[in-house]
Amino acid sequence: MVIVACALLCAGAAAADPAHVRVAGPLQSQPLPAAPSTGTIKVGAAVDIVARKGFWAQVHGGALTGWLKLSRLSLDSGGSGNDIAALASGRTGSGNVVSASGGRGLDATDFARATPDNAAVAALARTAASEAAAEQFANAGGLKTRHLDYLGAGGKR
Amino acid sequence: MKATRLIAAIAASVIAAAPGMAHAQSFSLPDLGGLTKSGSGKTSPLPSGLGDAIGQVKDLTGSQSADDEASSGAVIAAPVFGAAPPWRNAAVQSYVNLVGRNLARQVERKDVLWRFAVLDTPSINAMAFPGGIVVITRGLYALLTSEDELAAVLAHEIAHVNLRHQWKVIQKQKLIALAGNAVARNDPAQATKLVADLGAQLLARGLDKSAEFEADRAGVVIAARAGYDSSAMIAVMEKLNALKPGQADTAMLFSTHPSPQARIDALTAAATPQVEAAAEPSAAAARIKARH
Repeated sequence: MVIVACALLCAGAAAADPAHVRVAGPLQSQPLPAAPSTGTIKVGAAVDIVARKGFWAQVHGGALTGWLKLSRLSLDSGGSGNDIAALASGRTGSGNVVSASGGRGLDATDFARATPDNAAVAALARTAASEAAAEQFANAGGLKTRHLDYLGAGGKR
Repeated sequence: MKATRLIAAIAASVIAAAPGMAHAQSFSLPDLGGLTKSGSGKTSPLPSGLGDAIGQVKDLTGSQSADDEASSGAVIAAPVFGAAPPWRNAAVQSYVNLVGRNLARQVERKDVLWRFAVLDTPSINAMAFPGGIVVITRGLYALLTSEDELAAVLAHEIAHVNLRHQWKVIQKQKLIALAGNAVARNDPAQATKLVADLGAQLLARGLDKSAEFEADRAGVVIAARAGYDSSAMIAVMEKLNALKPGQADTAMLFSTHPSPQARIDALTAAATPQVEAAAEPSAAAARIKARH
């Protein structure tokens, strides 16, 4: 199951993504806070991200391998995330020729110049889904609701 | 000047063609902040003769009227739809409305008429308007490879509306008071113009970063409550991170939002064990594949 998840989530990570540790602490044997520690890693340590799962990354650095929260890492690529680029291009299907269009992007000046289309806005009410239809749609997809509290801004690791 | 009169006038002049929209809606815009400050280079000039009106009318600060919010949202959304029409793909429009409306079942506000649309532009962006209009561009939609990722994007926008981010910003602007004054002078066209000007400034500037981070945190929870992967927003941010910063398709998105890396950092730092436990692909994840 873990292998399957990694295949889905880390498709482009075959070439390890270099990163540096910016918050010291333990590495875990699994991407779970309570998992056994595989060692402690220092601030500034150079690591390679070899896998990702949800909010976690599996890193390899020196003799250590283990999982830590993504927020404890700084990607050396400056956030360019080449592995993710590969993932994105690898997972998009036909017809998804988007960012390669080379077209000029929409921006606020386009809105300022545009003729307001009130009819298009009004028509949204006719295509809106009812709550009942949405509930049926959720059930058909096998979605299971959860009770969760909103997150505070404070860092909780 | 009562806010309800302002909105009634705007609604009469602008969205009279919208049956069923006059009631039980409310909208909120993202946090733009300081729209009428000088030096922005984007502020609209005050209409001549209306400058004296500042201070003579009450603004919409404190308005709890969902109709006020919805009417303003329709005005502000209209030029966006004029610039980028809805994508002529009924199956995708219906699908996005179902995903979005289901997510909205997980938020507190029940006075919103939720309406979703995919706009036909290769630009990569998503926006929310006061009153529950949420749009995602065809460019961003095509980057999404699971229903979880679509839900993550829509939930972020739903959170803006639920938190009235945009609406709160608009309510603080002096132009909204001028709009009220225009209504008092029986000039709904001018009132509409003023609200539209406010909206244009809002769209150009975006919300405060704190509002974006707040919507990220709330959106993750909204999506996870509905049964989606709580980490899907991370995946979306990483895709955005992989795009070239100078690319025109993303210029507006990146100029109005914190960097994807900063958003990833904030989300991972804020996630609780309960939220992390919801970081699994949902049963509906693959449903989007038939809608590309």
